[in-house]
Amino acid sequence: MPHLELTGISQAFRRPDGTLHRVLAECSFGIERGQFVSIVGPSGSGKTTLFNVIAGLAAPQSGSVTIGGTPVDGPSTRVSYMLQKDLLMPWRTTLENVTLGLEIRGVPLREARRRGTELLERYGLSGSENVYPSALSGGMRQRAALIRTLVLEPEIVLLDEPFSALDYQTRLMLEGDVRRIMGERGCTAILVTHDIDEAVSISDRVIVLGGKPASIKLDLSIELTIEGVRTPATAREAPEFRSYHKAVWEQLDVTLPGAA
Amino acid sequence: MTSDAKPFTGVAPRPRAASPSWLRRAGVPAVQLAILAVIIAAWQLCADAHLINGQLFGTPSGIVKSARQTIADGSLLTDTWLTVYETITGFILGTLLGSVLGLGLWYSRFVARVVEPAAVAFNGVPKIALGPLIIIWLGAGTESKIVLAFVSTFVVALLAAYGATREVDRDLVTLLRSVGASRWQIFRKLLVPSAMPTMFAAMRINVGFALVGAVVGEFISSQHGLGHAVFVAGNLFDLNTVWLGIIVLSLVAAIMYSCLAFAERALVKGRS
Repeated sequence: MPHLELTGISQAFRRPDGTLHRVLAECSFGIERGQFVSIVGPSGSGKTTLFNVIAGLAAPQSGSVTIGGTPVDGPSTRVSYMLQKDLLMPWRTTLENVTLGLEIRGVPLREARRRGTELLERYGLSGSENVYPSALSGGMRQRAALIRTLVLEPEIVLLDEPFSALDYQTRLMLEGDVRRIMGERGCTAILVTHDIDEAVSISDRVIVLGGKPASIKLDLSIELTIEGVRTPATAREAPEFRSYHKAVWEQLDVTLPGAA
Repeated sequence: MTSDAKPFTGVAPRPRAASPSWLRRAGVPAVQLAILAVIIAAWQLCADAHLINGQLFGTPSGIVKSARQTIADGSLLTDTWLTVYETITGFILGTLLGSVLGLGLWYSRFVARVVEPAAVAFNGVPKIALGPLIIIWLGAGTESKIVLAFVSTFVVALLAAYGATREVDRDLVTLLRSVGASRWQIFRKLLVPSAMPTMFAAMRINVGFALVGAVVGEFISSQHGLGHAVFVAGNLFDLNTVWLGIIVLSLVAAIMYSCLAFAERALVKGRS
């Protein structure tokens, strides 16, 4: 049984003039435990809508989402997410930001602090525990946001373009870290992105959304021949990289608005 | 995202025009004091030389004399204390009730939409115009001054706090919800701290408003207080006592600002 399974997900919103705006049509796929999957599509293709449905933040118009066989009907403790904006609270120190979710779930403060400190140390933010976010760089802030996500010990991590506001070097480094950390912790990860390079280099599988309303246009398993450790940089040098990139690109059929 | 990194332009920043080294060493307060001393000395000399009419403008020596007198007979202290008491009581009541209500409006959009137009309209009313009403209802004692200081600050605090709740990042609300936060938890952990800087900005404005409320209340009808003292002295052309009242009022305002700045540093964290 797949860890996460979407069956016939459709979503629509009512426009102010009363007509129905259909965003997703009949999307179905399953993701195995521990898989790293990217969902790629042009902007406005319903990536974030799909993200919200999986996160339990929005109910789909029709279809169902199950995690380990249990239907999702609201925010679940088994899922945790991370966005492009780091959403760190400026009045909380790094550690206080990281432990926010635990605090809300009623974990005793000492225990929450212990778990937060441990992860901050393990993932390269030791020394920043008692610093306010205004003193952190963009990469460090996003790393803190990642740790805030991980400290909740989710089974599934949803990533909505978390790297897109970072400069290129920081981005490559953080992409590599995220993939490695997800593997270490056995998390199933779903990355929403419009960046094909990012999707192919980081994922085990790429799902391409397209059309209006959006449906799955391509479901591609990524197998890269890499000598040594797989990092975003070595993945880009794998002989298969270009052909995967091309396959995804062709499905995106990017056209200028109005040109079609 | 790294806003602290300055763009590299290839050009070294031009040094600012340097002020003389003796001036920089003395520092800002010394210069301020020096300017004040020069103004006071010039004022006194002009009055002594009959270049200006000391009767119409007051004189520094006359202000000192008036201060000695009113300190000796105890009236300066009682008047100051009374005005400070009225101002601070009205300020605290207005700030607390206004902020609590303003934040509370976040809980109900319906109530907020009912209240908002009334609050905006009332905010536009010069609160001084309510003085006669309040004094007729509450008498010439301290209560009417407290209420005037209260109404002068309440709506400002309310609109600031309510406005701040509307500025809260919706994605943060969603984030808290996704980890299972209750409405009360969202209120306590997100709404209140993120509204804090705006509420402090409103308080800084309200220090002035509370003082105006109390002093104008004393102008209209009272037996004591700095406003009363200034008003009476003005009618008697005792300009020195008027100046003394103004000086003490500005000291009171300065002390209140400092207390507020201290509270802000203690309560608003993480602002660079």
